[in-house]
Amino acid sequence: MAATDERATRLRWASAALALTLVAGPGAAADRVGGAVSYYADDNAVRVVSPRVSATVERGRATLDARAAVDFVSAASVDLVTAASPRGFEETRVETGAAAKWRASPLQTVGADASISIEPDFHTWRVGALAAREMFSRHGTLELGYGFSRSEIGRRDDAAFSRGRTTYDLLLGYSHVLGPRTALDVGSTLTLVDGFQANPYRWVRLYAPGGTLHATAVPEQAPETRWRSGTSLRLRTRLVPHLFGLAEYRLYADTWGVVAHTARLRATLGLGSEAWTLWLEARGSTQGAASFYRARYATFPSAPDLRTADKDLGPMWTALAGLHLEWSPPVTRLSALRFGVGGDLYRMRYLDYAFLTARTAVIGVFDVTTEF
Amino acid sequence: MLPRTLLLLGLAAAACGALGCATVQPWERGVLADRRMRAVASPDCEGARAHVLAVREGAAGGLGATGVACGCN
Repeated sequence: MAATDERATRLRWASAALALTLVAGPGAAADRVGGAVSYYADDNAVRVVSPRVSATVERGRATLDARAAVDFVSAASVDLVTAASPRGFEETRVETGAAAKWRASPLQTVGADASISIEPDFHTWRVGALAAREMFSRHGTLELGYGFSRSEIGRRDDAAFSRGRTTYDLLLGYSHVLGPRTALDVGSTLTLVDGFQANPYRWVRLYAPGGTLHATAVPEQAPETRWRSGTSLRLRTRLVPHLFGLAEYRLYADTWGVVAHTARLRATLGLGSEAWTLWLEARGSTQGAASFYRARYATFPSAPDLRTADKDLGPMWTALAGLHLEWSPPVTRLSALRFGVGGDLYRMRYLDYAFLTARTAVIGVFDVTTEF
Repeated sequence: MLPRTLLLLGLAAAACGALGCATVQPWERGVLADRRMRAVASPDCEGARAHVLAVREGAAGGLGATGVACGCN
């Protein structure tokens, strides 16, 4: 696809997304319209600027959400080095989606969602359905969801390269009100990913046994099937007046042998007659390696059937600390107007990867939300 | 995987029992309906972070329940 055609396609999608959001905007008496601009930068020369907008309209039993986001990515990272590319790249990703919910009865809600994501060489569309039912005198809510997505994967330098990937998601969640100030969520997702799952740009270096310099490099090769499961437990509570807390643990495992544990703590403090809200968050994760991951494949002249140079499939841990400050000025015509600014410090430590041992990133965000 | 899932569900049930699972009347749910009680309080803001984490970690996903339920509607 020519560059001008790509740009035109992206602009069409962005225009459609913006139009969808504006249709659901103030002219239609939207209940909520929000927007944010986030900035990601790390010490591995990756920069991402992401404006996004979203809107929610509630009319009677129906709720409609629409959202759109654009990622402007520039990179010259070690990821590119391992792909044997001498240059960095710049690209744009556009994502837009919509969701609708219908309160079928006082205790039952059904919904559906659809989204599409466009990159120059990676197109994905997704549809999903969700059903929820309140039970136990409205102390419990059971959710069941299903999602289906399809990706078409290309390669810039090879017009003939075309692969597909299909993903099936099953979600089961339950929330329970434990008391006037406390709720508990338990959730589990089961995902089947079927199709091409390697990176078409990534090459894996092969070494001769005992050799120090790689002898050759071959394309990455990953299994075509991956079952992924995640189960989480989350407690939400108001600790004391004006102070809310959230604690969450997640266990992840998949058939590639990756097992991960993630914990998250969040404190939310209301300040100054609730006009100001401060969010403090800490998150940590630890992850084991995929069964076929090796920091070094010393198998030359033969190549293993499965091989990867993806450091995210190796053993690693991450830590994140963030804060977000929100201001709600007194307004008369709106029910709420909120300005937020925040930042995260995100540290990734790769325990068995030759080209990069750690990466530190900052994530900044500015957001505005209005409610009518 | 199944035993771990059952273990987590068991822990949830134990927490429910330990905390009493008190009956909460509709007029007592003001705190539960507070936006600050939600797992995702600001979709635009937290969506950006979630996207970064999904890209940067090989073990993304699996957060299940949306974390907004309070029986307040």
